[in-house]
Amino acid sequence: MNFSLYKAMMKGHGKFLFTCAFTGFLCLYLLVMTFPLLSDSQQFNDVIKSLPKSVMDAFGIQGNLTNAVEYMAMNFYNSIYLYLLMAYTILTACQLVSRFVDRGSMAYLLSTPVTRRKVINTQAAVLVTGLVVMCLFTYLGGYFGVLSFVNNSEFDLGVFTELNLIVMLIFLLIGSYSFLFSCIFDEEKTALGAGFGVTLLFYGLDMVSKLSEKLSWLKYCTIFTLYQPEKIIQGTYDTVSISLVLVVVSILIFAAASFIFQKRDLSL
Amino acid sequence: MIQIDHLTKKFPNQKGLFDVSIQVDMGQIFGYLGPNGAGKSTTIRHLMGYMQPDTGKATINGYDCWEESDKIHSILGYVPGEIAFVEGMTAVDFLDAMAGMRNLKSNTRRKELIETFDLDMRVPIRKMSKGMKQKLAIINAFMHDPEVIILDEPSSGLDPLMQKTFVDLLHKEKSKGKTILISSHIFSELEDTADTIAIIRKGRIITVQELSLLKGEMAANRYEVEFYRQEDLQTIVHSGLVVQSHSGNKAVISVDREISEILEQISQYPIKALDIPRQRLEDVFMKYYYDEEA
Repeated sequence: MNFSLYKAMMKGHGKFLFTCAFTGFLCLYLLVMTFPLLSDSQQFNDVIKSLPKSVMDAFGIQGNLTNAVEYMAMNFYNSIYLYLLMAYTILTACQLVSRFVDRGSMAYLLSTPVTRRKVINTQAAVLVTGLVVMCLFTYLGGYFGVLSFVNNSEFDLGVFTELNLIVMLIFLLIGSYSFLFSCIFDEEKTALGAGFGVTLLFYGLDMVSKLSEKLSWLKYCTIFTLYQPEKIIQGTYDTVSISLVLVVVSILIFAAASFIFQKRDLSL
Repeated sequence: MIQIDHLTKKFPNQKGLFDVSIQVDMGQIFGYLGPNGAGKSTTIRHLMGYMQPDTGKATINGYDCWEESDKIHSILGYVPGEIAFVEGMTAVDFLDAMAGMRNLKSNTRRKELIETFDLDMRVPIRKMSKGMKQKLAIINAFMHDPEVIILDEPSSGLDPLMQKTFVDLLHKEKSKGKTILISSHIFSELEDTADTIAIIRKGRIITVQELSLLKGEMAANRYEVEFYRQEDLQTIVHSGLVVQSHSGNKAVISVDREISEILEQISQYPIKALDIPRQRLEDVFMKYYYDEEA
């Protein structure tokens, strides 16, 4: 890792990061604001309960809206937040390596005494920093929302923290393979395509496996199976071991990406 | 000192480098000339440690370019052929980051260079013209006073005045004993700077020549004289001067003796025009291109 490079990268990347992080913060904050309105509405609860069970499973809806965390999980952590994180993580992973290789500016970074290993590890560190900042902002958005609008009895901070941690680690894994693609491919658009392609495939498989009993075996083919907000809320989720697995696998993939980048020919 | 030893690198499309060997000594400016796609940039990528050779090796000051590129990079300045900077940075950010990565403490040389090249550092990089970006790349390559300098088509985009400033800078660096390699596909870019020129074509070195010898080849060896009167021309043809050819009132006279002797002879008659066709460096090189082709 090289501090000068890290500083320069964070400065260049800062605007995009804060746009995304602030979006996350604001979305969740505003969403929590609507919670008291809906949780008191009998009509809304009836609509939810009238949905077919498979649809409710696919979207992680449990039909119980007295809990703020569950409300957030259903309306944010299972939908918009995933898309926001996907966009941020994959775009950033590609911008940090393959864009520089594609456009040729990597030549400058690699013409200094800083080794390739250090350059690539610094870029990985920038990606991880960005992801952590992004998740932290959103976490705080939810937390402040709850402080402002929700009764404490309807909110469990421990469960909420667990939920945020797991979603961050899932995206650490997504970030790691996107970074790997970014290190392998010469062209930015190939890396972007691979990153989004694989992630959306995982996401689609997860949806399908929940919609139909016959296709439920598909859940073994997607990483989103490890992400189950419902189970976290119910307390039947093995947070510690799943976190460990996610962290270890991500580190291994980052290490592979770094290794490949050090050994490959670069057309700069 | 830059040394490339029987370096071969084959690409899937049959292109690449084949058994390339060159050597650039301290205090030497080495011109690396070839058409687009001949392998100039590939050679430089090997020197920079961006590519690993299939066989053979490249070293700079004794360090292997692939294995020990970090040691080389601390004494090396590089202007890439592609002008692409990291986005979202100002020129100052960029130079600061590069100086930081080089562990460079002093700003003196950078300031001097900015002044020499008259670069407006307040303009954001994305709004800079090609020439301004090229200046920034040059400042970046020279600001840490490197011992070895590698330049990939460095004067593209510079106006004639700045090209001259740049040539002066190269001569100054040369006199300090720096090792300099310049690649180019334009002859004139090397004419005022290089001591030695290597020509590469289709991945192979065709020739390595001293520029001074080449300049000798270029010396004028004939005069074209146009007389007013046909009789005068006939007199000259029979005067003992070697007339290579003549048509109309024009004669082409070989310079095979003292110049004053020739001038004395022809100046006895009224002359309409006198032309000394000078061979350009370009023509000399074209000869090599075509020789290979044949």
